[in-house]
Amino acid sequence: MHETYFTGGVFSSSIDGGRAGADIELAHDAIKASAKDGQLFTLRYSDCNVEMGGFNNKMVFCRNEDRSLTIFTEDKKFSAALAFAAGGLLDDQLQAGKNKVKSDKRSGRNFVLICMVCLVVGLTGLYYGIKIAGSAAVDALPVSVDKQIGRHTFTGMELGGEEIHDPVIVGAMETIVERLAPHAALAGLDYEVHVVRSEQVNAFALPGGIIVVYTGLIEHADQPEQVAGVLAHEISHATLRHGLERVGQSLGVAAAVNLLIGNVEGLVVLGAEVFKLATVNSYSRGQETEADSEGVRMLHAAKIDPLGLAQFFEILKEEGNGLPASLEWISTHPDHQARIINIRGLVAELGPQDYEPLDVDWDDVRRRVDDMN
Amino acid sequence: MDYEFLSQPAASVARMTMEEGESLTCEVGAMIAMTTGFEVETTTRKRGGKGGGLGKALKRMFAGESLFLNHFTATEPDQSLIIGPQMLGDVMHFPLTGGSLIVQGSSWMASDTDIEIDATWQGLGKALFSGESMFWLKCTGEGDLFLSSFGAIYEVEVDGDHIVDTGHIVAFEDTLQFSIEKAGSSWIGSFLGGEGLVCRFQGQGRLFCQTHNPPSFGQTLGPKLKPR
Repeated sequence: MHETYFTGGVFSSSIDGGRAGADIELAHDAIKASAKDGQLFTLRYSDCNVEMGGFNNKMVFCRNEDRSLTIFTEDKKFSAALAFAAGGLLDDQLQAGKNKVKSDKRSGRNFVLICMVCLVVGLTGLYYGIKIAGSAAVDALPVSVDKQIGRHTFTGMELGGEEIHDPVIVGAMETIVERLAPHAALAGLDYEVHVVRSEQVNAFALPGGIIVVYTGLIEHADQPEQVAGVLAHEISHATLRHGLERVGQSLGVAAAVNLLIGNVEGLVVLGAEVFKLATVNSYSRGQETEADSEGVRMLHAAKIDPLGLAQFFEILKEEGNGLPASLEWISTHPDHQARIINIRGLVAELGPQDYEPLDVDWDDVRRRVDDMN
Repeated sequence: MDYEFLSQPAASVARMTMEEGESLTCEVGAMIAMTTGFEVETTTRKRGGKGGGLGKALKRMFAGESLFLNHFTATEPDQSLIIGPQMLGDVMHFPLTGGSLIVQGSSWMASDTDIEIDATWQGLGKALFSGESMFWLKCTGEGDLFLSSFGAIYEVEVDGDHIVDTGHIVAFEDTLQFSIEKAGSSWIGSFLGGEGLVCRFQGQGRLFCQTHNPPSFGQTLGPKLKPR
């Protein structure tokens, strides 16, 4: 059984203000509305045009042909009661109204979805746009920025041992670097070699060309070409600007924004902090492979046998089982067996070369290092 | 209760003359001046309403109003109360005779104590893009309603469709439905033209608009202010 009486309102020019609240009755052949001011309005079902709408899209409006009279209500039960009272006369209009409400809801949801997708795409694009622009800005930076970051990092850095100034040992390292330097992929770096007394089998190069070699590394090398291989690999990190790439990745959008607004000093300070907080040798696997390739190319061009690098890996691999803690350099360079194979492949690809021995008295260097212990 | 508006439309205030026992519910901070014969009561619900009303009060907060309502009751004859909006602009009177008026968050200033003021959700799309508060205030009942605007208020008698720029709506009758859409035929043209999104009203009823738009005013003024 459907209800007959509802609360709603009326629009009519005969009402003061054009609108009034009303009590609505679904009579035998018409909708009757009794306005608050006492006026009575009648709308026959056969003359009724039904619409759905209102603020919440749940109101039912019944209008006459010229829209001079509108009777409406928000009552949820009105729609079904009207269909019943009109004897099926208004079913099509009521169904069309319901379909319109559903369509409106669907359109609203789609609109929100499209806006959200646009927002997400826009923000993602902005994020990656800044990163790409930042990366391009890194490439465009002068080498002086690398030097500043390297110097800033090296100043006050805990090296893990006393720096030694033995002219034979330091001179040997400088000789190796001098042979490699002319063949570096990036011109303008100032190479500066520091030798540190420590059991660590380690070496690293900071952005800008500061190179640190530990005596532990020299002790484990049978030939100077093996040390040259390690140094070529480390110098490649500096010449390929892996340090700045790492700063960019660690600082993300902050570095990109700093670069884009031209705040190079800010980047230098932030970049040095990144190096101080992380291990100096913590490059990505991709960067390590790239440094291997570039190191081999540099050694080949400098007429230093690149197989020295592979041989050093093999020495460490053999000795490594008993000395895991001290093998700092190899521990930051994982999967060395694969790298030995890779290096040998690279050397084979480069073709024949007249390798020239390094002008270093390696026995004397090793003896002096041993004497220090 | 009699009322008159002063200094319209740029810096309007409303002066109420109330007889003993008459009450008016106002937004917090609306009172500018009053005679001494008033009792002021502050609650989270409508005057005389039952229950704590905290839920509705919180919803009102989301709509840009205060958690609390101030109820001014004249305890002596011929008392005068002057109330005004926070922003520079106009005030208007709307006699609510049944049905509901949907009011933009911060435009409700005062109403008869019998009128129920509740916040109503407008849907996510409208909440994000209408340029108004997340919620609207739904004022229901019978009695006097006083609204405020930023700039002057004008009335539009809608019968069919009417388009208003976002941020310019003060209030509209609940028989109107509105949707958000682009201003022009294309998205690019809409945004390059500076209009962006607009509100399309459909149906039959009265719509009240404000001549100025608070967010646009803030965006114009903000960069010119010196940092504190």
